Amino acid sequence: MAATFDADGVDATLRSVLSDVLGLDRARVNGFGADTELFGSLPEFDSMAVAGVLTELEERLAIFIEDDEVDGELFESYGNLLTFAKAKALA
Amino acid sequence: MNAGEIAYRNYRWRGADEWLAEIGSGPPVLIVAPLFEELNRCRALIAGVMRGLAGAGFKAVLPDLPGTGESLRELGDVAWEDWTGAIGMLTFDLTARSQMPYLASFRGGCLLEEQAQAAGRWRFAPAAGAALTRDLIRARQAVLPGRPRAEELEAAARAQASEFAGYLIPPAIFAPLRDAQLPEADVVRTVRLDSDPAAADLKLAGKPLWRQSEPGNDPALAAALAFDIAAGVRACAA
Repeated sequence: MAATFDADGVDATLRSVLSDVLGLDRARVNGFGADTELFGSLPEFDSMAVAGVLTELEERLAIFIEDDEVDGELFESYGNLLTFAKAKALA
Repeated sequence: MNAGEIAYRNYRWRGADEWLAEIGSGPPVLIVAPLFEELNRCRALIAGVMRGLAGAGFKAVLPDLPGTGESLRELGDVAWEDWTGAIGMLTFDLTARSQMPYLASFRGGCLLEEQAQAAGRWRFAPAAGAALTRDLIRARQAVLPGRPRAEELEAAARAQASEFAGYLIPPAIFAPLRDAQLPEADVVRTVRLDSDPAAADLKLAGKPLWRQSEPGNDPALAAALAFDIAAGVRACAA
């Protein structure tokens, strides 16, 4: 499995995952900024959806997300999640 | 073209009747569906694939695995070998009734092929068992207080029946699933979504319906999948 990304590619992939897994309109997700609140603010982003987002991200970015890398802050904002995804995918 | 209606009949497994759905007439295609909640999320897609195959002149057969769907068995009384064995038995049964079937497996269903005899094998978005159990464990972590560690939940699931996303899965299924790899086969055609970076013979546009919280549908994807399966069956017959 080979997946190579640059920073923009990770951003685009993350938006695609959120749109696909949460069932959110793509245009709406494209409007997410670093401060856009996710878990707790979006009704679609509940704890079951978290599982789906994590697994889909792993698959598309060819990364492995450990238990202890997932804390409450990770899903607070789009910026937090993007920073995490970039760190994992571009390492 | 009128492909007819979906008909239901029994198949026999270990002394009890199980259920399957079939539609169409012609060379048989045995469909092995995704497992657990992924099946619910893909149900409309699979139905669309079956109708597409029936319309193209094939007989699509979709079994309920023992312990699932309309089965009278409890999931807790079933083992992984019941699933691989039932699929294998059905391929021999279809061979005896008409001809050796083409096998079309989806997601975790791809892991159940090992005892099957098939004219050809086709897999959609196959996943290793470890990836599926990781997803199940994450779903369980999401609903348990205190967010227990994945390793603890996995060890517990190997020892006693545990509930994952509404399914009480026994160790006799969880443990082999966790360790299951895609069976080796001489000729396999693999199809994936274009968002999936893993290798495939064909990539199609579409969303991962099996990941979405609400069951959805994608008629264009169903049609494309049916088309590709049909092409595969014809190529095997040639």
